[in-house]
Amino acid sequence: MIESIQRSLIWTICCLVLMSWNVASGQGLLALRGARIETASKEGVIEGGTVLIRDGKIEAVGKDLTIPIAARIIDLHGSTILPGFVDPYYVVSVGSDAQPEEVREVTFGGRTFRLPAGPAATPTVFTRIVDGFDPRSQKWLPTTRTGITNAQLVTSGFGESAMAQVNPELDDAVLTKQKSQLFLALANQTSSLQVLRSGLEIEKKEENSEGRPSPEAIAAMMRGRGGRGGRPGGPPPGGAPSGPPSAPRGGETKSPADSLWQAVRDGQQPLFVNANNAAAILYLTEALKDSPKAKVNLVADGANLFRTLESLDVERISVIMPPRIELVPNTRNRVNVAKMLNDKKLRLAFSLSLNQGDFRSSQDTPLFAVAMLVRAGLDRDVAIRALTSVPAEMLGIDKEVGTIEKGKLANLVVMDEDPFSGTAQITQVLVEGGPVYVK
Amino acid sequence: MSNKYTSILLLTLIAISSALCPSGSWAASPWQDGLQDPPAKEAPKPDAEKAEEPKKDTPDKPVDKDSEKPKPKIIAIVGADIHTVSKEVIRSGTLLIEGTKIKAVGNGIAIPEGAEVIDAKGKQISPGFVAIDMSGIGLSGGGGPNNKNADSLDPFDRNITFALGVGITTGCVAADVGGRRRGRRSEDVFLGLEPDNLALQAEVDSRELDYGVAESLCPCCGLPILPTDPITDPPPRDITPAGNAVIKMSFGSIDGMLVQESVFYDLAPGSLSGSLNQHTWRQQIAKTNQYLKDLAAHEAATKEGKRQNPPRKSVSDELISLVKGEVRLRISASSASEIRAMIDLSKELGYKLALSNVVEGWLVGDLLAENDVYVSITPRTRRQARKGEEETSGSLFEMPHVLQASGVPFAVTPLANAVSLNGLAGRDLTSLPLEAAFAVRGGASEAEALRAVTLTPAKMMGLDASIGSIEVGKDADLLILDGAPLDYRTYVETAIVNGKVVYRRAEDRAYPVFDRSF
Repeated sequence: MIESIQRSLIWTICCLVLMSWNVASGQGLLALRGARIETASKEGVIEGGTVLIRDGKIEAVGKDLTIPIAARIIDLHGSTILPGFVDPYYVVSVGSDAQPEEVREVTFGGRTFRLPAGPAATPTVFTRIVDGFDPRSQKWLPTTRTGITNAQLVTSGFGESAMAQVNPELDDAVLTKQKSQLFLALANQTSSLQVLRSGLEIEKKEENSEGRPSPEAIAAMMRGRGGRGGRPGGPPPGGAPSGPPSAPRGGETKSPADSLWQAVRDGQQPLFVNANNAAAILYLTEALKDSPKAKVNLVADGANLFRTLESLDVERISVIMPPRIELVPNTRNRVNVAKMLNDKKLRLAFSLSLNQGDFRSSQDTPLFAVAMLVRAGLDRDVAIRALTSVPAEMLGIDKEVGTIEKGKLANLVVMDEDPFSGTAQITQVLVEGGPVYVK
Repeated sequence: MSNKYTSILLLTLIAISSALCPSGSWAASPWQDGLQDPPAKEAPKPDAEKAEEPKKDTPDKPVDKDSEKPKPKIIAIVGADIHTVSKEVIRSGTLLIEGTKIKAVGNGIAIPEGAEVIDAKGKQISPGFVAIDMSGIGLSGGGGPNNKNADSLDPFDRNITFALGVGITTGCVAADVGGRRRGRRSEDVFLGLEPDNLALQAEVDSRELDYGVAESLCPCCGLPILPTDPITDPPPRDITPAGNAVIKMSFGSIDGMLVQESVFYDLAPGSLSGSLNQHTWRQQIAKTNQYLKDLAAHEAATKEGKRQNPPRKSVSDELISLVKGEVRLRISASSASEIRAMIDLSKELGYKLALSNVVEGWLVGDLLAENDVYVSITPRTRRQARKGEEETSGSLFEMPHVLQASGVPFAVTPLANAVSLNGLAGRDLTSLPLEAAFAVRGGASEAEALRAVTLTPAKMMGLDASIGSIEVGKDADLLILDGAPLDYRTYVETAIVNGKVVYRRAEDRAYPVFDRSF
């Protein structure tokens, strides 16, 4: 009896102290009350919980939190709060990374036909997002409407990514100072594979004695162009100045690509590989055999993953895929590849923007495709984490975002019903406690 | 009373649950099947046919798993008639595959413990067919000038399954080699893939049929004016070979898919016609011979301890291997005069020859045989004889018979070298066994016709040590067929490439699956 009185006393005192401190610190205190909280952390789901946000950070999460008097209270009974979605592979276009498509001419019977010469060679020029990226050129509304608060920006080619966060003040995305990663679009083509092999320092045994391909030329291209001139918005990432383009060959100057590859070879950083077909995945797994430490975050669509499921090394490959029910290639049978990957214990993340068609068309109910996967057998918690904490870990930004936990940024998505009901809509998106999208 | 209550309760419960959970309505649809079971190709299930075998005892299974890691897997195919091609047909034989090779073949072979047994009773086994001329299969295009074939394999190409479905396990595919532009051959890809273009098709057809100069009648006497030789020499052409590569139809795996590159010195039709081109060609060969001589001299000198610069290499590797006799020159030569010209040139310059698109070969059978020339033919090709030369020109349906009688090794190739699934059936690569059957119709023996799609093309490419027949030690590229290999009714039941099952008719659904027993 005495104990309980003591305890309640202590609690009251604590609350009083807290309140007074709150009052003293003034604004920036927000309480989201009454919602179902999908924390994506060990806590799991908190029914009717409260999220307390101070100065853009989560101060407390729990069921029976005492809300300070100074806090602005938003009542969210009946809604669900999720961590803001983290998109691990958000493709943007940067400056002049587009390459002209190859065309070949065929003359037959006096007539000349112009035919596309198959898929154009994958761009193998090193691109740094920070050098050529203009956040104002992007339309961010689809992103915020879909609940994406953080994303890794990449191009359709090869280069150094940048982390972006939708910014409430600028109503715009800005690049953050978080560590950037190396990304590479891989095709079953020599030029593309050469980038991977020389980056991983794999000596490919030559079948032809004749050295027709020019590895030097490719290596020179790889060495990073740097200095693309004026770049609006976003500070350059720590250190790593872009090497001068006319640097003498022979590794005298270290280009940004070299240090990134070094980290990949040592297994300190993962390599993001976007495999554009199933054959490219096989070439990738082959290359990984010769580079024992490297780890890969493989970006591929479900059909290609389905075909190469057997060859994926659970220890070294994590998967990023667009969430959708796939057709088994050349059949009408549908498969839940996400579930199969999870059953195989592969680390799985979803990129909502990877399939641009789905991304743009599903903005009213952005989790519809994920809901289908959950209904078709994918574990619910795995699905939540694949949207939030797993991609945050992949990007190395899990200290700040990815879960609803004390100390993390208040990047939150509020949905009007169960997120996997299929019809759930986003009512609010908060970034660092501030609304960036309100329905 | 209570019974009634419970039943009502149950019913309501069911009604509510089905109303609430739409997934309940999916349960019966084919959807769910797809969602639940991945097809067997990705997660191989034990073969259904296996069940009949005596190897059902439970103690076998752990043994199987233990032995799997240190030892390569053994597959035993029992009960089928085996067309070895190099030797006689083995009735109700047994065939053992260990790893990627054939381990044993014959009657009364003991099946090792732990082997996976495929019962093929009443079926026939043939070596996988070899397509001597293929395009648009297994390699993905593009990739720029430095693209290598080894880097552009696409083992998931749908055309691979279509090729396997008719029994093709190996093929020589037109390919880019080291930055050279594609030869004329690759244009066939375009034709093969676009048969809807009727105007173009008609043009092709008219060229096939319209032989020589369109004859006209003399206005004075009414007799036909015979074609004459062109007065001007054919213009000079670029004598560079088109790339080619032999690939296996190893669906789903790039391991062992690329067998060899540049198995032929492939020249575009007409590259060696006309004195100007022949002069250039003679010079190229002479240059190569000179280089080889210099190289030999240099090597001899180095052996003696002299220091000397190696000779400058001004010729391509392909040309060197042609002159050394490692590969054959392959060029189209349809008429008898073209064939003679090519043979004369090869005799003079001393390289080996493989002629393609041979139409008038029946006129020069002995000449071809004497000079060790391999030919590839399309038995269904028709060509009108020239007016007044009916006995010595045009196509002859009995050419396969004539060639076999003269001892000319011939390979059969269909009308088009790509898989094209629109347009007229029976013209594309998937009609290969049918085309070989036409060779039988044209008087060749069945064994010779089967050889024309297996061992002969393998020999032509110099790969007969590993493919083309069923012999111990060769690659396990096999077909299990539901009838005679060249019968028009026959379907490939199972195709095995490099010891791995890569095609099952019932599962791949590339070709119809039905039961003929009405």
